[in-house]
Amino acid sequence: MNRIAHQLARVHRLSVADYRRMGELGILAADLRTELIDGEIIELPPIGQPYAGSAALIADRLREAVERSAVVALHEPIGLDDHCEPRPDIALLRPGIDGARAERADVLLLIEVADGSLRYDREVKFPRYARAGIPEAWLVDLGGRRLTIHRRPGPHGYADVMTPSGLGAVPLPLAGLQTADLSGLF
Amino acid sequence: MSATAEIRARVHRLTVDDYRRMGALGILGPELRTELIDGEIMEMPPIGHPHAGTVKFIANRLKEAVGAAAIVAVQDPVWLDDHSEPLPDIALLRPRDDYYRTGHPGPADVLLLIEVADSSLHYDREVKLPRYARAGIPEVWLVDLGGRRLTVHRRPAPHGYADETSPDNLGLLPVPVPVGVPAMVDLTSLF
Repeated sequence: MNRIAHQLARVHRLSVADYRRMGELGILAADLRTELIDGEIIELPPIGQPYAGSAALIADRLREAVERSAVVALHEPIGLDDHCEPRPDIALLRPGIDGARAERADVLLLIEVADGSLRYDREVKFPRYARAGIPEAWLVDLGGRRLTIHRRPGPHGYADVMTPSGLGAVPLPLAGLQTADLSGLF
Repeated sequence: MSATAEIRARVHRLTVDDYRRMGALGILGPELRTELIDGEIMEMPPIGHPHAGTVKFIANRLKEAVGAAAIVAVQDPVWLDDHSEPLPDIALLRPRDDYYRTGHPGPADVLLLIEVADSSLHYDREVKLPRYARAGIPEVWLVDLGGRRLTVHRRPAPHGYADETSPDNLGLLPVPVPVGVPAMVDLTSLF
């Protein structure tokens, strides 16, 4: 029913600053998992399996691969622009930002692990990552047992989408040309 | 389900309490005219002069008609439920000595709501009227400036008003008051 309201009137878009204050002031409860997409607060579903284990495996393997050349963050909010602060499953960040809130310039790679959220990730979040200039994003489709690597961000999405030939040595966007061993992911 | 439908399904719904706190704390600035509809903050368009003048005309005529029997409120919040607090153009309220200084009026306080629609006709009709009915607001008038038509909506039900009439005579319209016979208002020069 609210879809009619959206066609006929303007929803007020919150800024990232508004959204953060709502968190600090307790208007958004601490136990609520949310992200801000185009000024709207989106609730994230509870974390279930195999989603949680898959995200943990990837984060672990990434940490082993990057050592100190990047920071691996799990479920951390990333400020993309004035009205978007998503919470990607995994973010690979430039080293030296510990403690500070990550902004888009800090991001080397974002990874979304999708079970029920595949369309939301692909059609809502990835276009926004591309628009914000996030250089690379991976989509892990648990249902389809498929990893896709998205590169060359543009205003409407990623121009390059490829599936790596194997999961044993997936190239990471780092100067040292490290690779991550994701065998056993699916 | 499309991604748009999916995102709609997952939008966080604010409570009226959250919404009021956002106003009190300045997260919603005083320059904004908003209403809360099903937990989402909707921005109201700027008020044009035909709309503003019509609201003033009706509000003044109403006050003359009802005297001390009811309070006339203009573009003030009325809460409907935990997730909706719209700003109707005019609300006719049960009289109260504090003039609702201690809390916004709710459904039980409302005798009549009036929406004056120019570009907002569909929004008023499709979004606001069904919510007024669901909350049990006993009577709503919809003033369609473009169509030069007044409709009176009564008998609220969960999905809308069961009764819709378009009075022929704008010179003698019954206005609900808390007790006794309805007051009569003359809106002859409404359009």
